[in-house]
Amino acid sequence: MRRFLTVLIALTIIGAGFVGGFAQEDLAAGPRTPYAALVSLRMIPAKLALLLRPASARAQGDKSLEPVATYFEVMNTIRGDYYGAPPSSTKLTYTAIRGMLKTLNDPYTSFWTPKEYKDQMAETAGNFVGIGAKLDITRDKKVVIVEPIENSPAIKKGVLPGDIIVKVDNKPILGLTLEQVVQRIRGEEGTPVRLTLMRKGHDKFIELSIVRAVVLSPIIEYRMVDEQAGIGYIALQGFNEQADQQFAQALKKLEARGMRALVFDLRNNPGGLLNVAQDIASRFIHEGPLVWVQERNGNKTSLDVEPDKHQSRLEKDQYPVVVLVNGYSASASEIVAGALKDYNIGTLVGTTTFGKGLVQTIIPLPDSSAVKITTQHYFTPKMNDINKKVDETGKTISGGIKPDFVVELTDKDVEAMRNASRDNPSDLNASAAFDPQLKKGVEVLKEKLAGGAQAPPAEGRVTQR
Amino acid sequence: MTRRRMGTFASITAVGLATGFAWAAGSRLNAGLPERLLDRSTTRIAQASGDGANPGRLRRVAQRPQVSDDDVGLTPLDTFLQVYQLVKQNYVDRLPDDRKMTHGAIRAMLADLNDPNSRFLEPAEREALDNEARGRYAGIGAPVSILARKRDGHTEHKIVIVAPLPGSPAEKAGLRPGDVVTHVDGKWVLGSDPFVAANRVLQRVKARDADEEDLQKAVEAAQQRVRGGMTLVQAQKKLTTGQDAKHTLTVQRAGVKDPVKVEVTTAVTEVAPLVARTLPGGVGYIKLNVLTEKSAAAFKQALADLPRQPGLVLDLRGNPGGLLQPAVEIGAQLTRGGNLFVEMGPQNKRRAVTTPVAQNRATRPIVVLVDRGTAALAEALAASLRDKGVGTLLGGRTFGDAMVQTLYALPDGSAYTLTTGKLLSPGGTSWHGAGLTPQLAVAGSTPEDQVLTRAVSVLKNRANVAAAARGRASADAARR
Repeated sequence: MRRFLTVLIALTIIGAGFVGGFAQEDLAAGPRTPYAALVSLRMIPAKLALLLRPASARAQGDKSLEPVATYFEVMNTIRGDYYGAPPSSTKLTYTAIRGMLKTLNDPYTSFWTPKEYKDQMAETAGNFVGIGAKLDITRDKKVVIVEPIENSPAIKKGVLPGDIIVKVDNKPILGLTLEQVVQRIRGEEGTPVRLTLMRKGHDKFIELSIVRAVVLSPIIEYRMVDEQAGIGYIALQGFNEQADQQFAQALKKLEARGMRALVFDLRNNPGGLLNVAQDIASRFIHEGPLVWVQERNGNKTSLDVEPDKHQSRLEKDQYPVVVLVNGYSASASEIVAGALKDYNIGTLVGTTTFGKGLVQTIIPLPDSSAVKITTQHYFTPKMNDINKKVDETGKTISGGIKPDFVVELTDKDVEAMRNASRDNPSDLNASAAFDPQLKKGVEVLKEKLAGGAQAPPAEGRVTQR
Repeated sequence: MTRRRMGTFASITAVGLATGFAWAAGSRLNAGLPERLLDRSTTRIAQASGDGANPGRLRRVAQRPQVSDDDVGLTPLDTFLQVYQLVKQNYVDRLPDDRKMTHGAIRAMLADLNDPNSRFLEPAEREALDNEARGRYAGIGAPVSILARKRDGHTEHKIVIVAPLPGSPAEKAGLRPGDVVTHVDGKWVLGSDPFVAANRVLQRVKARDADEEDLQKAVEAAQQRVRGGMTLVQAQKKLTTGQDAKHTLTVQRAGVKDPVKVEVTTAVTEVAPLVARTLPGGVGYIKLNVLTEKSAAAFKQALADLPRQPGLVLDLRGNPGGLLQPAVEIGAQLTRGGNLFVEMGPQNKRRAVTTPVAQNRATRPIVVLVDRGTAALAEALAASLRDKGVGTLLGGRTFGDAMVQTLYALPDGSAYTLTTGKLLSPGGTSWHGAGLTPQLAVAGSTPEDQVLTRAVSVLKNRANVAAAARGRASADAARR
């Protein structure tokens, strides 16, 4: 359930970031030179005689601007003439690149500094060095283990959900922020960290020495939602390098528990790697194109099903699948949902997806920064363009994938789910009872298992609950 | 697919479908990484707030950071070049033209300085500046200044009327020097980033001192403010460009509790460089409206036509400044030359602005009338005349702006300005921020004929003039 809350924050911040960015530019770049201006007209020094033809030294009447020479000249003027402390040429350059890319008006084409690129790659890789436990901080400032990650050093040493961390390496952590505590627990691979824990029902503190190791952070949540009916549930939170592997394992475990139908939850899944989307979709579909991609030259090529992914019963037995989607299911999620829909393999339940039909390519640069460029449009197997189109007022005209069964999730539902999981944190299915989209998915699957397929409602009709 | 290889497009590393940076991070919130997402966003908001802004306006900057080997600009140049080429070759849609992309790059670099006076100018904006240099003002006909102030660790800007020019819509509407424009057409002028407050709530949410709902509320409040407001740029554009547009301004006026509302219709105001006449008693009077390209020649002519004795009343009240060159030339005409101003540049290097010394030139005593609307180069001229012992300042404290902007022209008609220095009086006095205190104080409410009578009587007692000028200059120097 925490997922809904946190996603809420994430979205809010995206909005804030965008608007903030706008404000930044305008507030800072803003004002005209005051008064008829203390403007003394000076000549631009020609600094690039050897390197580049300076923009100012060009033939009279040449009114074009060459981006690279002009940027370099302005940067050096700022570095040389600015009265305040000028930013470093590296910082100015990164800023200039961002400013240049902004004129493309494409939110997905962007630049990453070396640090941002490194962080991003770590995220895409889906692993990190640590003890492998999710932490949270409570209102009364206790740092609590929410859940130790499978196969992690933490779980092997017997760390339990609900354990409260009192000391790290014998130093009390009272008053530290969650971030600071995480910082203390993190460290080099192979080195130990000593945790002092308080556990319910124990009089004494528990002392554990845990050796840090590479931990695969879970990108998947899975469980049986209805043991009796054999309905399993897998939620995928992103398409990173671990996603396909974890998905396969989850399938295997659920099938071992008698799964005969699957709810595949792609709600709030913002996407990830294209080849991972291809891998995962290949587990559902027998053969054929999964997605068509088109470059600037207009040529369309297909990414097809990878036959070697057919090891689970999912594809072989063709058991019923429901895909849960919402407005925050984007890009790679839409590729998978779109393919399952076009091949009539999955029934989509939820709300219309985000509508991002663009592919980005990440290109590293020699100084360890990187640029991410929108290089391709993509289309579903049936050549549907799902990319969001807006009119001048910013209103969405088309885009996204409309589910077979439209079921909204209201603020009240979210609140009820939040309360349910708060009251019963150990029961993963506690909030499910208040999740109308999941409930509808289970209902659809039950009918399918019973043999009678429920017909999707007429176009545009919202299912009543 | 290979990954993590260096190089150009030949070695593409990963094909990603992440919906933007924040989105991608958002997917991982559940995995215990919310801090990273929040941090990134925080940074963005912090930048937006203009934290650490106004390097050039109100504070002196000591040393430029040392330039390291990595920082000579060639590695960055290569990075920029590669990004440009990669985008050119691979972007999925048609690209904006080179000119637009260049403007974007320059605009961003200048915005990075967080200095409202260092900025990119579209061709139209540059043309407006060129017109002002010739004495043609569009909009309300009053130069405005953006003043920065640090508060709670972030910078707030306000837009201030420097001086309504003679015959301008601003003058007709009764606007006064120092009026702070808070609303234009009923919309807030956003002097600081409304998301600063939201960001603070975000920090509290992270520390579990506030709820997501609180954050939601704070963000909504900020969005509300953005929707109901306009940026400084937009406000400034409305005030200083165009004609025949009606605007309602709400201003905050010193000494007046309630906000003052005025209606003003924009127009092009042609400002004559000066007005000259002889005051009763045969004293010469020149009112310099503004320092434009025409000012120095007009001043020379006017000065020649006026009697030398007993002196000159030089009226710089409501003079918002202008160009450096006319200020230098007028200074040269009224003094024996030499060091007229000192310009402090990057790394606080001082450079004297001098004119040829003419020991034998007969100077005349001057009373310089100043007030809150005397700004920038008008202040510089006043300070110079005072320090050089030829002028006595009479009136009210001046505006207090000494920053020098340099305009750099680009071949496509656009341009950019950069704060390149700060002016000091020849005696080394800085008036930036505080303004100049006249030797002879006269309340702003004093009737005009009494002010002029006072000026004339001062001139008629020349000995007092010289003594007072010297005394005040040394007192000012001692104060700093």
